[in-house]
Amino acid sequence: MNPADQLRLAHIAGLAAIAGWLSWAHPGGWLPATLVALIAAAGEVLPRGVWRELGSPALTLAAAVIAWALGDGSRATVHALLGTLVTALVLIPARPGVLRLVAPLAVMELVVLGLPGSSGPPPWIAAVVLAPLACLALATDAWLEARLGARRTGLHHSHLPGRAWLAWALLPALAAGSLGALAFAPAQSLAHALRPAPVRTDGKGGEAAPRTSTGIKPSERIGIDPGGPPPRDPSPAARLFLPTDPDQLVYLRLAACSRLQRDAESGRLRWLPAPGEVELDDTPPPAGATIADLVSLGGVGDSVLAPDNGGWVGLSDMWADGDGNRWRPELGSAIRSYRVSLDGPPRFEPEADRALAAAICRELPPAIAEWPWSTIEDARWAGLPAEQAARAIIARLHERCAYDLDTPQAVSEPLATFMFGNDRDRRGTCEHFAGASTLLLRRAGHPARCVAGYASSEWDGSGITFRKLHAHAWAEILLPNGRWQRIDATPAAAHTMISRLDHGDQPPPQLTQAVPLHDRPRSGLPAFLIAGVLAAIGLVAIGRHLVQRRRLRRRDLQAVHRRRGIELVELARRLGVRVSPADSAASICAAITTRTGLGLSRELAAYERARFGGGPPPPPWPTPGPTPGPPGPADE
Amino acid sequence: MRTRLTPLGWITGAEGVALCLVPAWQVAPLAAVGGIAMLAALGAARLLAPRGLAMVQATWVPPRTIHAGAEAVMTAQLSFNTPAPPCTLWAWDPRAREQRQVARLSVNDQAGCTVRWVMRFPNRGAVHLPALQISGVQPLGLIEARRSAGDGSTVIVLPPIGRIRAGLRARLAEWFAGVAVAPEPGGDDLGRLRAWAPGDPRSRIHWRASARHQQLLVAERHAPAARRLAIAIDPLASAVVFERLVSAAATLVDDLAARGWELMVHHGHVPRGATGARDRLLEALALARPGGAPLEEIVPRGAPCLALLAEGTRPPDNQPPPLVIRDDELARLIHLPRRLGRA
Repeated sequence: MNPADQLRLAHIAGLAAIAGWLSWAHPGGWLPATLVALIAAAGEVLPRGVWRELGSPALTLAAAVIAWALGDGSRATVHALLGTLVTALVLIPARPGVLRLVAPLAVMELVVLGLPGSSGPPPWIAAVVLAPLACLALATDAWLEARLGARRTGLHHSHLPGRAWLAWALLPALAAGSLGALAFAPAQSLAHALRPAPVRTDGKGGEAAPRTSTGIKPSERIGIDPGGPPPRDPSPAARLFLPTDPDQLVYLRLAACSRLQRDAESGRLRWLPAPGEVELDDTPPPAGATIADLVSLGGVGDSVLAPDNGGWVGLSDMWADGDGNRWRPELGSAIRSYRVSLDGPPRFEPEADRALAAAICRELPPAIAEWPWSTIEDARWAGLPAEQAARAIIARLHERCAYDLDTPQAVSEPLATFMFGNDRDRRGTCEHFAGASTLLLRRAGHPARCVAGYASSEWDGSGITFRKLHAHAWAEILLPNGRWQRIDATPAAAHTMISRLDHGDQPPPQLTQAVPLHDRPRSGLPAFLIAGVLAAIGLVAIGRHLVQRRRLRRRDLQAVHRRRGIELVELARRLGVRVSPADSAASICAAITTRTGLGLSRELAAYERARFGGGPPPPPWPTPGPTPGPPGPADE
Repeated sequence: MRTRLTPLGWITGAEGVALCLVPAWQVAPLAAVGGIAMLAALGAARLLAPRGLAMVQATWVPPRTIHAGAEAVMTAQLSFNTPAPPCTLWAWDPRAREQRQVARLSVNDQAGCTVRWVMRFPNRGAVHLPALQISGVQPLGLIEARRSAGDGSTVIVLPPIGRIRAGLRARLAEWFAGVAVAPEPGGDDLGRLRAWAPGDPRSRIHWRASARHQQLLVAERHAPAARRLAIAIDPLASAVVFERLVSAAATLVDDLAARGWELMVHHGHVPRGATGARDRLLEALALARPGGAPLEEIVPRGAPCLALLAEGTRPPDNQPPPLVIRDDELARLIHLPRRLGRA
């Protein structure tokens, strides 16, 4: 394989690496990244010249437009699409000295992934992959450029790379990149040390420990534990901007908890977000602002609203379920304030996510199989549609169980006690009702999950205030049409009971502190797509301009060469030096110097450098003195 | 060993430092990871770039003869103790008076290689060639390392050689006919034919020529001493004229030595003359410089001598009188290289 083919292969490999990373790191963007990368790589096989120079970017841009049309317009899609598009436009067609640009692109991706609000894979994976990739791009580019230069000289036959390439390109690059990746942990410690840790809540009204690098995953703190005490804290947890009175209970979703597992410490069953981590933000809130963090669950989870120190949040451009619940997926870990726009068309979960969620939401731990289900279950529930089964289960729970804030304490398994205990012990809070209804629905074969959040009807003219005591849990079932339907098994009297609790002197937060964003629903052709296409077109235009400018410059240089050559001959003739067609510029200059003593070495070097070495235009020849005649007898 | 940052190295270093300052505001200090990777790449390049060149040896293999102003094929022999990364070979360019890149070498194995390139030496004389230099930017292209590989070399650049015109040949023949022929039987070279005169021995009659010309002709042949010629160069000529005279002398040496003449070269710093084969004489001319002994001491007495004089220089009164060729006649008699030519 000659060096030109190696260069081409390296560029395609670089593009594949970037596209592969973007596909993996931003799952929503695998389709656009793959499509753009494949078509851009295909442009490399176009015939050389104008076809490849213009055809390849055109193909890439066309692929980007198609990929956008096929994508879902999410942030991950845009990220992957733009990243692959820029990489493809830079790398294809392959030119020497360009592959090194993969390094800043990889570093840029690292910076973006480290920014507040960005979503993506765990940072350490990004560090391990992207830092060596950047160094490898530098090393490969330097190696290939040297080999191509050696080939151009034609002075030495190149050999196949072997040990030398391993020793002088691959290993140093990987070593440098690994060193950078290994620095991630110390840098993270330093960053945490430089930044004060914010105080957070665990979504149940309790105050969580300050966020430090303790290794505790957020998903271990967001969950539904039926054994815990109900919150009684009246301080505001969140606020939803609503200009009209909803005149009903407003649910604010925190997290969908699809995973039921036994807690290692207490041995109780807990509902946890599934699967993957909850990516919570580490950035402290701005001074003086009351905010709430909107974060997302990794994998199949939903968006999570994590109120922090009270405050308000509005949501717009949200997804919705069949019951009007709104949430926002793929928010990342940014602190954002959203304004509600209930008039916009709701969007629904992708089919693949729904299928996966349905599979997860049918799982039951083996430990509960021995519970006396026959005392509560009805075999007919399995044959009913999900909604009817849910209504029957709620009715059964209301018959058997009572709502009570003072739940029995120190029981080994609160959920079993709630469902199968004696008459005095079958009482519980919303968490018991939600957990029991979810379990019964799953046993009947209907996908169901628990949801943690808030339920409030405290409207004050401008919005709904969610206090910590409004923390609530309910269930959701997956309908045949793919939508999640809220099932609130908690008796309605419970909410009345909660609303009568003393709110104290906690005033509602000031809405004026918020910064509303995204008032309008998304348009058909998003602005960032237009910006991306324009940026790509701009890049191509700039590239074309540079190429044309280079060609023009080459033509200008050739004209300057010819002019300088003519001027040199004229100068020689004026000085009495005979010039024949066989004379070179160097010989003419030497003759002029010999005859007149006029030093032309500098101008000659510049002339030759410009003519043969691609140097800048040569300066004009120096003008000789007024009497440049031949040396007379006195000189000799 | 010298190292310096390449432009890409400067950019990478600045980028690395800037990125390392980022973790204060990043949630996950990934920018610092990139920055540290960049700085680590810089450090690795600084550490390894000199080592990649440490085992490279380059030796000058100068050509046998180099003439000033003419193209000379220079050769360097490179050897590598271990497989070396791509590197660049630099050689001293006497015209530009700087190191010039002469070859870019790809991956180099232990078999070594030979690199040839063309170079022009502007002036005659002894020229010291500094050691060949090797540079490389591997790995990563961030640091350029350069070192001298091997020893320097000294070459003697011979004077430029022109071509003798027919006028000079005729003049030389005429002059030799006057000073270097004798009636005695001499060497093999025929000096001239003349009509037979009473007293000439019959053995001197050139029968074939006599038959052709229908009269008796006697052959006069060169004396053995006439095959020797001294060439003297005016020591008082200016530098420019002296160069022309030296080039003319070199042209004569090149031409006459090839015809079997025994030559001597005299100039101010070798007044007794340099003898030897053609190359030895050309080397003597390569090292000639103006000044030294006066012309009277240079021109040998009692031997045929060709004096190359500047305009206005009076020839010495020697016997036999030397053949004087002046600087203003050179253009007509010898086709000198154009860089030494005169209008």
